[in-house]
Amino acid sequence: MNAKEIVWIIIAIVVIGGGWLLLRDTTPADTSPIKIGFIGPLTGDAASIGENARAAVEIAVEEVNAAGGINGRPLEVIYEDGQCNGAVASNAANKLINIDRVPVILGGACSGETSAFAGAAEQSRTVTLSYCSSAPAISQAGDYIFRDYPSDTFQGAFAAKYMTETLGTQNVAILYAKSDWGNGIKDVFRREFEEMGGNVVAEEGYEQTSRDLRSQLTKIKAANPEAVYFLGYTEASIPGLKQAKELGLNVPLFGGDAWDDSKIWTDTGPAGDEAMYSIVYAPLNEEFRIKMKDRVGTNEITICSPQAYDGVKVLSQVMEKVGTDSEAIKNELYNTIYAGGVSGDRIEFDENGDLVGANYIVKKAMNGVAEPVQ
Amino acid sequence: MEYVIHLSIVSGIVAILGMSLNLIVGYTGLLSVAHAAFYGIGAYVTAILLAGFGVNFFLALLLGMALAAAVALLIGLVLSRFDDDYYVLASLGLNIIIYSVFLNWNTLTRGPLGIPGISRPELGIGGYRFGLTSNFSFLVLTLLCAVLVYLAARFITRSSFGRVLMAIREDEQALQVFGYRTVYYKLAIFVIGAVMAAVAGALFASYITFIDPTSFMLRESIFMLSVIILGGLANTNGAVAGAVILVVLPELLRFVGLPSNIAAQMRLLLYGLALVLLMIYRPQGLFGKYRL
Repeated sequence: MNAKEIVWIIIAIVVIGGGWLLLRDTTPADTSPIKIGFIGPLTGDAASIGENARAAVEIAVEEVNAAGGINGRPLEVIYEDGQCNGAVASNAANKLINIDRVPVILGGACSGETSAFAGAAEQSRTVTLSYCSSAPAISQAGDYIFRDYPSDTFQGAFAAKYMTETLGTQNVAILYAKSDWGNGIKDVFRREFEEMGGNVVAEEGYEQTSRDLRSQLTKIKAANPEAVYFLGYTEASIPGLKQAKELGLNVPLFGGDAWDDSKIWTDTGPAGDEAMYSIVYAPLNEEFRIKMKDRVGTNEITICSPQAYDGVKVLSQVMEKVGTDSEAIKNELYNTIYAGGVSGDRIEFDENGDLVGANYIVKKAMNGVAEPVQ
Repeated sequence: MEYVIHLSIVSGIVAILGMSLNLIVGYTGLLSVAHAAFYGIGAYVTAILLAGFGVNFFLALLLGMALAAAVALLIGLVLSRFDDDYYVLASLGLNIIIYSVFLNWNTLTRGPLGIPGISRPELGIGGYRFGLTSNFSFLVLTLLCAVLVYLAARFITRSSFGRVLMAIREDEQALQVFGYRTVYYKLAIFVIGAVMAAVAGALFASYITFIDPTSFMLRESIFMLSVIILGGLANTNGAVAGAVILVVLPELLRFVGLPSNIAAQMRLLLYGLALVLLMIYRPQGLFGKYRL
């Protein structure tokens, strides 16, 4: 080995070693909290959903922090009220994005909330993970907009398939609440059901605030359907189910995921017997149930709380891997697979940021309790 | 900074609504709660034309104003048959009718699903195109509109036409004795107010980029009414001040540092309390010249 070679070897060692020293992460371990935003209806008509979801988020955050946080940094959530109202949610999101500078917003709950701030989130490159918005249009809201709650497209298609194949009905009537949820599912259902050769004999909508559905039910009865697809929220569904029985509409009633509220079945009692509805299959382990009960005081786990809980877990997993840069989080979310959640066995996002492959099950009410149908 | 710009834009939009409603309620004494309907018409026309047909924002704005004027003329003809309490109830009913149209005309308004993907305004001069995509440029546009509305309101209220309006508020019958056809005056100011509200609606739709019928419910009309009552009736500056306060106050309460589990509820509570206190200690509003 001559002197020249030795010089070259020394240069190589210096360059490689120096490069390693310079390029490795030399900053000391950062222990400041990672802040993320939360938007949901904490007050107003849909407050029960927002408050319950917040409890679920708090549980998830405690678990993440008890397990050492995200790369040693604790997770902190800033809760803002969206009131299920677009303009209010837009203010809340602007505050989270521009003042708190959160990389991620978990929310909103109502589709109207998410749609209203999706533009601002997309423009400021803030990742948005909604735990409850199901309006089909949100699929197209932007690259940074995700949701771990399935789009209504899936539910409408599932109901159409179930009613033709399992129930064997050909002529059905639709009774729906005029809301983004009701209209969205109804449109998909009608399209899919007619494609499968079914026939929609009547389609009646009602205002969300309405408690008397007799005129709609009378028209539906006159059309003589084999089954009714009844998309309603709790407040209208209780009188609606009773009125259907009173009017002698003795055909199967099939509902949407909003019927997964124990209040409906305890209140309607025998009038609700034999009513069925589809619901996203959520494994809900026992530990989660107990922790929720400790926090909210009742057994109530409302419709989107499992998704809110899993949302925190998914985001922690992603941030553990790629840090807190929102663009990195966005890119990683498209490749993430999260297994063993309480809202589904497997959470994965497609190219629109939508949940891949929602699994639905059917529950049937009997004697004031809804139980899964095999 | 972006947050301040956002709040300024929202305040500007609400200020336009306040100033226009003030012409109807404050100056003329017609207690209308149908203002959200015209706000909605402006928003929906803009949203449908922008999202569905790619029409230029400024053209859509003009069409929205024209439609609002036409609807206001029809509604105004109906409303002119009523007085006082009946006027309030009739305008309430008309707001609900327009809201129902937004909610139920699915093929046009997409009903409760709302209209997403409304684009921001674009200026085209020759082959050069300039989009007002940044919030700052949108703020400039909003302030420009607000200033124009402000100047228009000031011009109207200082003209002889404006003095007739105030005279209608004070004693309509006396004015009729002098030979004034007060119906035309009331109709004219109602249409002017509606056109201004449509401007606010167009700005709102284009700024938020998404609208659904819930933004144009009766609740919004009441909010606009509280803006001008708080700011002071029959005072254009008051309408602006009321708008800024009612937009900024609930936002400031986000920073009070309340414990997070009760913050949202306390915020609404404090907001309500602040309004009640203000009404007790200053019932004529901040700049008010006239009480209902």
